[in-house]
Amino acid sequence: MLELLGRLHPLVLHLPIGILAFAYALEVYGIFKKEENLSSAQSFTLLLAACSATISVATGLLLTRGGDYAGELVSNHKWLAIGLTVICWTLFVIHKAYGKNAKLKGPYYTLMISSAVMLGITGHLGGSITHGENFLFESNELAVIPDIENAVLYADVIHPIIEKKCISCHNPTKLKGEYNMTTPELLIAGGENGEAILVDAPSESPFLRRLHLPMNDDEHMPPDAKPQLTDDELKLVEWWISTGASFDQYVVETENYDEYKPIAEKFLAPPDVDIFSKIEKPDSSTIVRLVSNGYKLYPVSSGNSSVYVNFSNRSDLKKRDFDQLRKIRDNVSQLNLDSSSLTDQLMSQVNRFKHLEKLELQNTTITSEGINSLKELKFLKSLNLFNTKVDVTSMEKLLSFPQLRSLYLWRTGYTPAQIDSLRKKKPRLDVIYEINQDIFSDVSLKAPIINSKSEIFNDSMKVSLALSFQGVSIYYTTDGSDPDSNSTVYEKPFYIKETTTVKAFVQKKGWDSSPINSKTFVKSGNKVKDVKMHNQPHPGYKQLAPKNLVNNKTGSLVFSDGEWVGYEGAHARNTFMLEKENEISTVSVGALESTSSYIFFPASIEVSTSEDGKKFTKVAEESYAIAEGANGAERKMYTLKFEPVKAKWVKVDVLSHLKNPEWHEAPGAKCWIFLDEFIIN
Amino acid sequence: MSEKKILDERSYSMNRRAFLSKASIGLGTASLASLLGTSFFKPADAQNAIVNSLNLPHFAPKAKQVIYLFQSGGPSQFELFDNKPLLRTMQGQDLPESIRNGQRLTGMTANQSEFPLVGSKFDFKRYGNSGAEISSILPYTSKIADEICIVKSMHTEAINHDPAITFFQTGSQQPGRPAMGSWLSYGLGSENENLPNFVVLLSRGTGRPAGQPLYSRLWGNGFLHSLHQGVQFRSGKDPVLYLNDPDGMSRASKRNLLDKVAELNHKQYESFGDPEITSRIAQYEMAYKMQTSVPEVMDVKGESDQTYKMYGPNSTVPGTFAANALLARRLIEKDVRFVQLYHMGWDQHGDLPNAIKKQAEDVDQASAALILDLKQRGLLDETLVVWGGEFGRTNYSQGAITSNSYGRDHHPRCFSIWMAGGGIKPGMVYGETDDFGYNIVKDPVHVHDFQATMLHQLGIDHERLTYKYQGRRFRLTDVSGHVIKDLLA
Repeated sequence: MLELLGRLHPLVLHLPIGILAFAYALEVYGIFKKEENLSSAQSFTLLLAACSATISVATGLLLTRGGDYAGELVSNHKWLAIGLTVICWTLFVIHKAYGKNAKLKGPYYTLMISSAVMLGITGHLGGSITHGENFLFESNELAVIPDIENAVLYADVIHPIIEKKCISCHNPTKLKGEYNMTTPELLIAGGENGEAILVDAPSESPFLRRLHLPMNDDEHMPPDAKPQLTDDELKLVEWWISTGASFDQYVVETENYDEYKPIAEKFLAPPDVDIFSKIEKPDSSTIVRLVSNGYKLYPVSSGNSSVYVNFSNRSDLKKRDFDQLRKIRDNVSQLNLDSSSLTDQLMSQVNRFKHLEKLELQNTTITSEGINSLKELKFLKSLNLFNTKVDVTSMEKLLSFPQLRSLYLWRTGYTPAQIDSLRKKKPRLDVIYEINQDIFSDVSLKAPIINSKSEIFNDSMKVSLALSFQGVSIYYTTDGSDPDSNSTVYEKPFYIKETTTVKAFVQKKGWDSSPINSKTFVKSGNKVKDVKMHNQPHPGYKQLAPKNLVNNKTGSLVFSDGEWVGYEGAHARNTFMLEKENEISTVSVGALESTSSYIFFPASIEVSTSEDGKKFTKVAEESYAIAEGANGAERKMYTLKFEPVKAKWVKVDVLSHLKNPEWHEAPGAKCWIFLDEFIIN
Repeated sequence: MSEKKILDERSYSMNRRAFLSKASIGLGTASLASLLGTSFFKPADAQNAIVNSLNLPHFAPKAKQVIYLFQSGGPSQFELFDNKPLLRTMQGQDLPESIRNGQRLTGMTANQSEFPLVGSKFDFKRYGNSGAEISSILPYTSKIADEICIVKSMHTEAINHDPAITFFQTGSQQPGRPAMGSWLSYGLGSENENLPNFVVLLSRGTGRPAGQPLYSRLWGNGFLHSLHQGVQFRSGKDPVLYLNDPDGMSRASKRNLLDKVAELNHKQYESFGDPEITSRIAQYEMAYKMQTSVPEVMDVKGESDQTYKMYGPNSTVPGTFAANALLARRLIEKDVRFVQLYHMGWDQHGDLPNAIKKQAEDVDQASAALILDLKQRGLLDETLVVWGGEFGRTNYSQGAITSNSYGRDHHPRCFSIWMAGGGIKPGMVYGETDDFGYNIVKDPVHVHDFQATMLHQLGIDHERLTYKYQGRRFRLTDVSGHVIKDLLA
């Protein structure tokens, strides 16, 4: 019986509110219409107000006896209501008295105003108890609806249902059945009737049972007067509990996802929901002004209102720059501050762009302090902190962005262990850290480059060794032996005076040593005064001939580099006239082979000498077999040795194979010989 | 068409554009969409003034920048990505006519009396979650199998190098159309006023050092304004030729000179209306800025040992593919829109196993390193990386098959490329060829489809990025091309 009276509280409580409001109206009316006597009406109204307030308080007190209501909010509401009732009675008494005593007018009005204030507060607190705190100031900002790909079943689907349909009665303030549903632990633990969700046998959970009871059953939840779960909501809750009531499982990873997908889709946004379709497009004149002031703004697309702002490489970033963007701040979806002069102080400016989806802070001096000063960026999906000073003290903040999917943390204060724990805490967040360096672990150094003006010289040649890489040691030999770490360390260029083979390699800690590079420098004892070409090379490869055959320069592996003289399907017959008659015993010829370009080494080389330029005597002849298979490009020096003989003219015939061999991709086609240099010693 | 007529046509279109622009500002339309059609890009900068009429991007882009690792010469798909065991079992047998079906061959093998099938000399294994088959000569690429999307069903129309590369780069086999990078520069504008929007880096392969040459028209602007043309950065002392001032010229007097020249050019522009004059003014300015910005971006001293280790030992040698790959990353960091690398030497008519191994060694590690380096810096998501050549190679040998060697001729009917980043689905193999590797049996991707897809990732509808020239609206994909949605993440 008493409980029933208590339940009348929500009904009766509106009486004192209405009556008091009428009392205030009468009072104001009385001020303007002084001639009318309202005194008795006012007095009666105040009496009614005081009585109804008393009844409200009484029913309220009865309601709290049930034990479903507790907490600070209820207590505040109670004491304020009692206070208000007392004031109502006082007002009634003073009103009676102040007709005789004008001094009481001041306190009367003071009390009346304070009663109005108290009425407001009490009412609001009462409302908060029933409808939940903050119901009055609930934000009407864009709600984040997580997309189905990234939604957690409990947090993004089930909890909102519980919040909408259950929590108004099962919260810390209004503990119906001593059951608080606001945290996962308590949701499972249940209330006065014991565990609500049975982890071991989820399908038999009382939680589910009560939802399924017929409406007329007293134990049915939610109670019949309250909004009920829809069929879809019921199915989802059932799905959640029957699959084990996990609190961190993703929707897409939950068992039987395919079956429940159509329902879940109604509760979640499609992947990649476009919030900018709901935001007003920026004013054109603003954009025009910003762009003409040098701000780099780009529409993300012509279809929606979002804008990409690029501050990268800006070295003079100031608060003013952010102020300038004031009018478009809701449109900024991507903010690029890469390599800019952004500081922790300026980071607070970033908070102004509350719809940011992508934030690039890499290569700046910001620290955890700057990150922690960020407010909630509800839509942030990608955050780049590569090469900044942030460290583990920012972890909590980083985990707080609800939609964050990509987080770049290489070259920050985060240690690999901290990265691991970050990944564990939010498995769906893609934390990009240092790539697996094992992939590149056994990389050896490049062999050093052996530099010189040319490979052929007359008197001496300056040789330098180089590898454009810091901190390497170059070792070399000049005696033909393979160098090792005991060989000479290269410090500065050196000179060679005889035909020499230089071999060198490099070492550096943490790297495999380089292969050995070697180069032979040939001393050429005789200067050639003139060359007579008995037959002409191919016109495409003869521009500098015959001078480049005796210019002490060798060709590269590229036959078109200008040093090479080419003969297509023909031999090369040349006579060299020395500056002065000399005793000679060797002739060297540089040749190229690159079979895919139809270029082969010579078939044979013949050397004849003469003292008068007319009568030639053959002094040497060598033949070579044709390559048996395809080869990459290769350069070779052919040296023919013979008994020393006095000569001023030397005739060298380099004979070609003339045709590609049978195995070649173009068998029988004309083949080439390419020659770059002749040396006579 | 006479020079005068062209100029008239251009000034007509410019006037109409200017009129539309003014008219809609006058109307004070507040919507961004209409604004984009007029003056989103307002600065005097000639380049952006052109952009403002294009209403771009058409939709939200997944990628902002592109690195194109072009493998010039036609890499053999059989030794890299398209494993065909049947070719090994049928080694030496003649290609069945039912497969070839009388399709045309190049002059290099058309006269061969028989077409002996030849299998890859290199083994394949499956890698990554997608189980992509990758050859043993690409050990590093195989480690990034989960980052890349291999397309095995590319096909092209051209059969020889220059037309095929031109087709890939410009959408037409005939020279004269703008290159991809130029189209993007034209369509999307610049985000770094100190560097060109379209940078080209060349390297020679060790597999065939004297491979097919490349012509600078491959990065030409065609009929677009000349400030959209690609700028080649060379290795060595002068990355951009003719950029340095003569000895003794101060920066201040250079500035003075440029200002005066610009003044004169403006006068000329006012009387003639040739937009090339404004392009020229912009280019002078760009050259001036590049005098400081180019040495800065080319200076790799600050890169860590770790970075060199990733890109491999060749990255310490300027002018190599590896060094260029590292530079590509640096250019991307500087907001350059399109970085075009060319690695030459993939044209293995003979001596294929030996040469392709060297070619693969040239590019394998650095390509993988580039992908991972972009990833760990947070740049891969918005940078589209493409790796591939202009066509594939035949399943039969050009020339005789020996114990350790064979060759392959050009084959346009199917070949493999890969893409990564920029909203392309990672860890995926797309398309299939028949057991002979001669024809495509599933999901063909034409060059124009590839181009349409690339533009789509940059927020561009390939049918709407056009330029009217000599009475016709031209576009990169000419009159065909479909976005391959299956490739998109």
